Amino acid sequence: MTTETGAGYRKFLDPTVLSRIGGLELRARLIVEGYFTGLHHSPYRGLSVEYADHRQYVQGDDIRHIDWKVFGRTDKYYIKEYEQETNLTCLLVVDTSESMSFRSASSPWSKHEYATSLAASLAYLSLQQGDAVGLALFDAGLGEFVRPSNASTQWKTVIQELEGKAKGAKTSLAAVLDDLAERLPRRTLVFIVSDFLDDVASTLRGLRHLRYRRHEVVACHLWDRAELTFDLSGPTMFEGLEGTGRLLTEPRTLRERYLAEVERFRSQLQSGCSRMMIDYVSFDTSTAMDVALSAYLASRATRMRRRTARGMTGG
Amino acid sequence: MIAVPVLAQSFGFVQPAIAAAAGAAALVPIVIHLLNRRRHRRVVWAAMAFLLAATRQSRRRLFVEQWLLLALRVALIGLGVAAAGRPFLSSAGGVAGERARARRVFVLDDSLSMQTRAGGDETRFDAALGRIRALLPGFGENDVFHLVTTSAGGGAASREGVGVLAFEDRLRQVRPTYLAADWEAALSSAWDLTADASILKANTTVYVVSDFARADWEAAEIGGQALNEARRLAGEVDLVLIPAAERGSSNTAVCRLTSLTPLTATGFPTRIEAEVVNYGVRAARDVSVHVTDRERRLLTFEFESVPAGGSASQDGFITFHEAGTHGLRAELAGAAGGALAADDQAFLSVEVIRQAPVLLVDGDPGVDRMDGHAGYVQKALSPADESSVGSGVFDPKVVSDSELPAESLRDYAVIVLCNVGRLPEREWRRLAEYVGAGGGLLVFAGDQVSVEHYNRHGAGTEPAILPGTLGDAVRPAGGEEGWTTMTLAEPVHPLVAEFASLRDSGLFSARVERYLPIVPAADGSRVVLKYLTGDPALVIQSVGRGTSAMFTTSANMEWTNFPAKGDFVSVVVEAVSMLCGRPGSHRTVETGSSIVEPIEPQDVDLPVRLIAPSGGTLAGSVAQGADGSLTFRAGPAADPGIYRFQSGERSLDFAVNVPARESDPGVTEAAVVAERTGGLARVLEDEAESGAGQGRTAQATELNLTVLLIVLGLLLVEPILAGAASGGRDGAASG
Repeated sequence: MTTETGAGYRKFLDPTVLSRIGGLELRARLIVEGYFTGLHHSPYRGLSVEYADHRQYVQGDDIRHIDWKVFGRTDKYYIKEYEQETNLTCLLVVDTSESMSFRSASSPWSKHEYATSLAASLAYLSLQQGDAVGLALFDAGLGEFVRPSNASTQWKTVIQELEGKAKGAKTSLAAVLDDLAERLPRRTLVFIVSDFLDDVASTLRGLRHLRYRRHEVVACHLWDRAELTFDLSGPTMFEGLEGTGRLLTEPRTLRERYLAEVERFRSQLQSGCSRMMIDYVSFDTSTAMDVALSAYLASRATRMRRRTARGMTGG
Repeated sequence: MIAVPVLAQSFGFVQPAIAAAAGAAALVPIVIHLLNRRRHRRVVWAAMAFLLAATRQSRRRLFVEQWLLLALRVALIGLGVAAAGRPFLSSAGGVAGERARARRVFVLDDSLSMQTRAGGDETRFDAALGRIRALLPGFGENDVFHLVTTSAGGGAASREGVGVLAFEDRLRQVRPTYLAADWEAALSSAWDLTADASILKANTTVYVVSDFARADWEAAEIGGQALNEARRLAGEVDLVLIPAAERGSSNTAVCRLTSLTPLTATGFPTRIEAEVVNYGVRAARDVSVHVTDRERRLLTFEFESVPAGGSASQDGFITFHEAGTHGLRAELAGAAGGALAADDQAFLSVEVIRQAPVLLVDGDPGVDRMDGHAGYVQKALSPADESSVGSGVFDPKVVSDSELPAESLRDYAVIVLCNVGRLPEREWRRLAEYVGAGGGLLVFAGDQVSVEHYNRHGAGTEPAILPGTLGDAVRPAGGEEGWTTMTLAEPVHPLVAEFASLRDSGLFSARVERYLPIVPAADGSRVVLKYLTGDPALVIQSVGRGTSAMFTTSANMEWTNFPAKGDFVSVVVEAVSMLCGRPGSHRTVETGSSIVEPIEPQDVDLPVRLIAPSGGTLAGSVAQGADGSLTFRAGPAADPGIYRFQSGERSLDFAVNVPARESDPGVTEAAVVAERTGGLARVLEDEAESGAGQGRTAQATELNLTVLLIVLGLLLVEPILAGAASGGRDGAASG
């Protein structure tokens, strides 16, 4: 029964299904619920509660926290320990430049649609856990900016801002990151959802600025599947977005070099992120949403471990 | 064939139309390329920077690859189709290396004029063979030789190509003929041989070896046809004219032996005429011509002088005492004939009859002979007394129209209807068949004649045996009692030609008081005599193999007094003689003609032989015509002389003469002939000339194989290049 329910929800992580569901709010809820229902063994309980560890039962402990499964295996009482995070601040930085409007013929949705769905899901998930969530939209410069908050109205505010369309401007990520680095007053988990189609060096400079301000950064690099496979043939007139011009060519003749260029760009960005301890996640618009959510949770867990480590070492 | 000069060499195609198609086909890849560029799809693309970077890196290579691929495909298709057009490379001056295989077509003039002796014993034909043989050592071992002769329409040609040794054998076997040259057919045969594509036309040379007789090349019609063929040949292949005659030959010939008497009967003198022509530059004096019949000399013509370049004729009378055909030979006496011996004699076949049976059908017979309508005609045809009937040329028999059905029409040479009113339809059909088969019909008008009946059965049927449509009898308005006279129609018909100078003849003074107006048939009828009123008096026309004539007034004194005139006899005799149709005239023919003789049905099973002048037998066969008639046909007769046809008891002489125009020894300069081909042909005067035997394009080489190998190579390269220029590069890159 649980499995069936999980499979039923799981389908809402499939972009092809999600693309047919109207409304960003509903879509985000389905993604998050589907994600956790799919996990079905999740220890997730209540808001802002995170499972931390097990310890041996001692007298006086609340018996509600005894892990009976462990008892069944070991005949010993273990108590589940939980941590509650109340001061995590998350900023979702979403690219709305013209290049994000690209959608290939085989893709269920555009990069922008995927990015907003992903951002909405992350916002929902974060707010569910009591985290403060903010939103920043950018193209050539920083656009709408929603300050992080865990207020009950924040979810609606974020959704409202995300429901706008991609703009017709160029990407200028470095300037945006510089701006954000200066704006964010406290350490923040920054999710950047973008195709990063900008100068790699300047992008890395901006990221470095964020890291310099001690923000945790997760770079969600979005692709369309066609951009990664370039499986086109026949005479084709490519009309570039963001004013990058036109090109009439036979794609097969360029495929090898094109893919090499893509790979070079991605590896430059990835290695740059790696050097700055930035989580780099690359996926295309046909990838299930759980990859992105997992990235979020993994990043959050890492941050918590660091904090714990710092607490232990610092007394 | 087209050829494009390239320096000393030229490049061309055997099939230029296919070459042109190759050019068009070569454009196909370009057209596809352009269409593809127009038919591209549009794709909006975000990651343009990577695409542009990839393009920048590959631009030069892509440009080279794409244009190289396009050029390769253009070459592949163009060359592939061009190979079918059979390209060749030729060198006008010859190039070092192995000589290309060549076709040598020799058009050898074997006509009678080539038997002319220029001096000594050598004829022009001998000289021609000598000139050909002198050329042979200069030809390649692999060359292919054809021999076309001008006689028999090139039919004596060895159409299949042979090697030089076999060709020499054929030269030893070929002989001059007594035939006229048929240049149009011979050159056309040569053209057909050059059309064989196994050897390039560029490697084909046609040699015309001839005396270039003046009669052939200067006569407007004959020369024109020959020149047209020569021009066509010279436009495509190397045409070499090789003259084989010396100028200055003289020749005297008996060019004609004819009978001036239309109907020859035993015991009656026949007028024979001989004509002698002198092709020399001086007058021929004291020329004697003996006319013999089976070695028996019948007549000798003495020509005191025959002018240079002119002719002279004489006639004399011969009386034959035996019926049947007589083969007459007229021969120049002594050595007067000159350079060509074969034309020193001429032959004539004369058919001598005992009497010509004539059936006179009287529609209104009188009490005695002259009371009826046929009496005057009978008297005209047989003027002797009743007791001596049967001794004249004609044997007339008078019957009434009711007796006509009982008569076998085939037994009569001519049938004369005199004032016959109506005839059963069956009799009209019999008359039509009789005339169509070669009989003669003469119709006189009269008061019994039903115009409507005659027009319906005689003029309104097919074939129409009357020479026109009759109208109701008219009485001309002239003189006090109303009459008219007759005159000659223009142009003057031979039948009445002798009256042209006899204006006071009874023919012109005879009064005609009534006649039937006739509208001559538009097809083939001819007015011989007419009335002063303008209406025709005597009209004749050919019907099938026979002839019919209509005299529109009466044959007795009822409508005219012409029968009382002496000239009535002449006109009737001439008319009936003409209607007899010169029996046996088909037995005098020219060499090259077939010998044809009708066979009676009852004789079809009899053995038939045709004995040639040499004593040999000429093969022939009997065939049935569309009208059911049987005909023996043999030949063509190659030699001049008297041929004897034998079938049972029947023996007939055929006379075969050489073509008169071949007697002219005059020649046309080969250079003049070459000039008339538009300068395309060349004259070979001397075998020692440089490259004489080689032909001007003797080194053309076909490039089919080379081109096909190139195409094959391109076919192998194209997929590699195409793969490299498209998706196949992945594999190449990984490699």
